[in-house]
Amino acid sequence: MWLLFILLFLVEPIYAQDASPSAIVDPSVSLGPTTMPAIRLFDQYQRDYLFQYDIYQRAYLNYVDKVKVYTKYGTITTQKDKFNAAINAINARNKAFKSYFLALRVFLDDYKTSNPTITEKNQIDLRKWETWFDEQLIVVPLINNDDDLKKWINDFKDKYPEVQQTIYTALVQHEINLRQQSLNTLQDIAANIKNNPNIKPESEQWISNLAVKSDLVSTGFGNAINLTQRNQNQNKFSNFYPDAKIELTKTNNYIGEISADLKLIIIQFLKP
Amino acid sequence: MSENSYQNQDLETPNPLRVSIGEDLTSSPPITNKSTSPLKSALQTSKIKLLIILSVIVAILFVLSILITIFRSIRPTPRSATTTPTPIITPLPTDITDNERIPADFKTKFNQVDNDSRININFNPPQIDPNIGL
Repeated sequence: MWLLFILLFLVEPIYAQDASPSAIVDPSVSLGPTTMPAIRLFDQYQRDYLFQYDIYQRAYLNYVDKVKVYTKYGTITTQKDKFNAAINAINARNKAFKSYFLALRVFLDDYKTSNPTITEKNQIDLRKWETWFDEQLIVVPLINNDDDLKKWINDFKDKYPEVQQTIYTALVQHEINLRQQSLNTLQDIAANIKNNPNIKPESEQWISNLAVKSDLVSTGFGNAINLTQRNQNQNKFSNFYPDAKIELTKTNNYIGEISADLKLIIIQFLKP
Repeated sequence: MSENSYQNQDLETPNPLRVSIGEDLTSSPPITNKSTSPLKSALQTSKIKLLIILSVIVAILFVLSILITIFRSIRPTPRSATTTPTPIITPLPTDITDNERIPADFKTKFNQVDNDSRININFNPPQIDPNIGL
């Protein structure tokens, strides 16, 4: 009986559900493993492309070995091995290109709102080549003789300059979109400052000078676009991307100057 | 025919065929190269002395040079005067980098612009060999 008395009054009862604050589960906190941050779609496609490119490089090295063996021995067996290795390497290359075009097309979505129409056109061109390489994944494995293979290779070599032009044009447009977004943001800030009732009148000339630098940025964009439309030789691609990068680096510098000027205007002329 | 006595080299009398007219056979003996005059010996002695003196001078100079070299290597070189750097006044930080004075609603936008300017787009196309199979 004394034991029952002790159990009833001195021992703390255990409830089915503990109402203490420490035990309340916060619904925003997961009890399991740490939640992974959302993975960007482009990152996934980029990883896939790098994987396919790695496979292509290994297939290419295998093809080079087979060529050496065939050159040394010249037998029918080595010729067949060389042929199969070429088919395998071309197939791996087509897969790498297909995954690259897919990743690049998704990549352009990042800053598409800066120039939606032109970016959409670039994405259509990228999809066209993505589809073509996808079709070649069916065509190439069916090639079974050297003549057809040579014909296919020559056809690809004719198309390859256009492939390169599409890729680099898309890359240039992506960089323009990124910088255009920054420029738009700075122009919004400038407009806000200009219309702010707390801004001192002395700032007006400073704000007007920003338009000159903005024009320089726009001119840089135009120069980069003009480079992408350079006439290409039918057989050899003239790479305009390095020159375009130079123009885009200049625009980046001007944007940095505009940003610094705006900060100075805010600090000097905007009343707190 | 008997041997002529003047052909015998051992005789004291000289060969009459070689004796010239007016020459006295009993004259003083001929002068040889081995004889030295007192003047010559004096000159040679002075030359030797000069040579010795010069040698001594050269030896002394040589020894002096060695001693000076050793002395310089032992003695520490005097310290050059320490140069004190010109004090450079640290310039005050410019207001442009002072983002704390920028209102919060602008700060977010400026941060976005600054971050975007640092993005380096690097997604180059695959480098391939278009001649595979040829």
